[in-house]
Amino acid sequence: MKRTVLIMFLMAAALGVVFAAPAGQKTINFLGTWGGQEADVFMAMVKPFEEKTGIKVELESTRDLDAVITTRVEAGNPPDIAALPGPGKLVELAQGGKLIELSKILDMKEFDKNYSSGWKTLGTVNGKLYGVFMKAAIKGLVWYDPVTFRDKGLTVPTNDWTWTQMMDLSKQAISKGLAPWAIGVESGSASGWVGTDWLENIFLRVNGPDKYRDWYEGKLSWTSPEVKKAWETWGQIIADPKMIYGGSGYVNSTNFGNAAAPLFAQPPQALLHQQASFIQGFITTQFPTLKPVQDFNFVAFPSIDAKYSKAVESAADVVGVFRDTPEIRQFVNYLASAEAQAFWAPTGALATNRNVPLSAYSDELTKRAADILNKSEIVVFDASDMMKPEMNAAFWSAIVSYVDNPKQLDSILAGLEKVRREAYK
Amino acid sequence: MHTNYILVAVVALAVIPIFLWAYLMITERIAAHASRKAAGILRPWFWILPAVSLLIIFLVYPVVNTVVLSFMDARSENFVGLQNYLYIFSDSGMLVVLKNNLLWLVFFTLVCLMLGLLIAVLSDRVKYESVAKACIFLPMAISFVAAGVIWRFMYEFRPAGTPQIGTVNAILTALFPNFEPKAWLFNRSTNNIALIVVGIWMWTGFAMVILSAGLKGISEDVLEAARIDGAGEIAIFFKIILPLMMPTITVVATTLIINVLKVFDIVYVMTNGNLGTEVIANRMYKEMFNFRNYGRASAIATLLLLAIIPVMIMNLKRFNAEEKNG
Repeated sequence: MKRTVLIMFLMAAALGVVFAAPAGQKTINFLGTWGGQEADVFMAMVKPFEEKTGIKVELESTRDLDAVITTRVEAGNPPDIAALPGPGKLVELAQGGKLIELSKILDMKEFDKNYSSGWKTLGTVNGKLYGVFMKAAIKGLVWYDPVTFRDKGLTVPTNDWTWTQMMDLSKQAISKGLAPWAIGVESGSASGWVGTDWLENIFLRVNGPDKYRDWYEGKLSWTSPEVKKAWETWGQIIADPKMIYGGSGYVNSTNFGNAAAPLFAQPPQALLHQQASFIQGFITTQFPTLKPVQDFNFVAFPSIDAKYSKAVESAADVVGVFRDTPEIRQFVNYLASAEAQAFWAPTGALATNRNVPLSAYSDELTKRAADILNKSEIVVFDASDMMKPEMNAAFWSAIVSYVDNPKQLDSILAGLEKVRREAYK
Repeated sequence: MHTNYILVAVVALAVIPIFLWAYLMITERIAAHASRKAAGILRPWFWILPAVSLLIIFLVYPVVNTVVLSFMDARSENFVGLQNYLYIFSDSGMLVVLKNNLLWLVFFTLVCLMLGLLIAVLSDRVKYESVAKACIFLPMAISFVAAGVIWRFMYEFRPAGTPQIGTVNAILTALFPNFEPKAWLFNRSTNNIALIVVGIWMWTGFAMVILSAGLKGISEDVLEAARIDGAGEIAIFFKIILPLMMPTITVVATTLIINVLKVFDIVYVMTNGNLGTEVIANRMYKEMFNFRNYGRASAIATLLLLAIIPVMIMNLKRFNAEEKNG
């Protein structure tokens, strides 16, 4: 009997040693969606920090971040830091008390020097700062191949072009045997988001930033004339088989990353492509011989109502912090610094830290995009990313349904309205 | 909080046997103090207790908890009665989900069984049986996700008149020049069937292997006797082979049904439930992890459990009957 008790005691002691051993946090667990080239850049960015401090940063990458983060937070095993794809999730986690308030962690004087009030406001929930934005993109740029315009005798649009001019240009493209638009909305579990960008850019230019905010805050009905007008305006393109390359089946089955390819096919198949600034990276990876500016270029999204022509839609990843240790503090401060953010610049991602010099960008196009972002008058964030997750997901799949059958618009909007009523009650 | 997992594993490896040994020592001592009769009654319970308690912690408790959560709201704070279940049977999206699962249940199970049986019977009569069977069985070795990715390439769509890079469209346009290439996964009339085909491709091998084993179990004498009596091969199949194989077929069918009710990965990878392809498990995943509506997710899980129980009971009954006969 004595021996048994002794064994039990030893056993408990051994377990105690294992679980109590404070491993003196030398590794930071960072969860994000960044894979491939993005992961390489992240690791390059982390390297100087690791060398300086001896703290290791471990990147865990997933494309289904929403689900992974929910599970880990619920299981009481959150990452130390996570890069969330939008403010929607940030708000949810902050309200649930899962995130650390950043003013306790960051050197706020430094932060205010580096970030515009716009980014600060976006990262603030109930008056407290919870998120630092990084890796920004301008959404709704219209990409084209200048060579095609020259060969076909078409005039390249300017940044102040209008929707009517865009429709005229589209008709000319059709007469030259080109599809006006190349569109692809497939993106795995986020399929449809490309279409939400279209709608957001149209909505913003039809209804202005105030209505835009009502819309993503769930205060505007999906069956309202404002929302319907935006869908119908997009319908002038997406519902017309002559306007899109390959028809609706192609749009739904083509991954957004390959969607610009018909512009650069030999001979070219399509004239225009709407996508965020980050598509540049996809274009140059897929077609390494193409040079920015001379082989591909962009103009702003056409204006619809002149009042709102200066609006720009942006998106960015937002970093939230789940644990507060001296090591994590050090890393978050580094992450927010101009030094760290400059690593992203050559990849076509735009820095939100305004002290990243334009010279950090490797080409003219990205430089121009960064400049637009720094100088624009009305910057709004991607509306779908600001919506509640179920609203966002319903919006994504509504896009796929609309592309498939635009005649169903009323029932699609009614379906979205039902989700809104439930999500924002 | 970065625990050293290797150390934990090593300690656990040592601690668990020690714990069990200590547990048995202690219980044996208790049994030794009891009367002979009491010890006889107690001992089996002592021995089974560790296993049963693990079962309760990891199986019974989660099931009961899920059922309880299914009667509560999204954040599991208030009881809402049957509201989640009413939602399942009234929401138009959920009805599509239920319809799709029925579609999967019928087509997947029937086609897998029929193809499996056909291949088992036919391959039984050729010299290259093992090669043929290996080919059919191979997809079983691939994970659902990988199969989904492979078939996404197979179903790739390019507009008519351009080179088709998807195998299915490439073959069809090569054979029939007038064939209009289709976006199989993004067309409401074909997408569900296109997904079910992937499932069938993966699981026919399973049905075939088990059925083939059952077929080999039929004594050659019986078939020989039938032939001598002048029965044709078709009559032999329907009147002798099929009835004799009924127990095997039932086992395969129930396994297939349980699997098809749980289908998730194929849909998740290939269409993510867009354009009316969502199935129960995908909806459950979305409600749980994307929308964080634990009430609904639990109600769907409970429904799935209820749907599978009769199939499991059938399987158990047959298993018991066979035990008795054996």
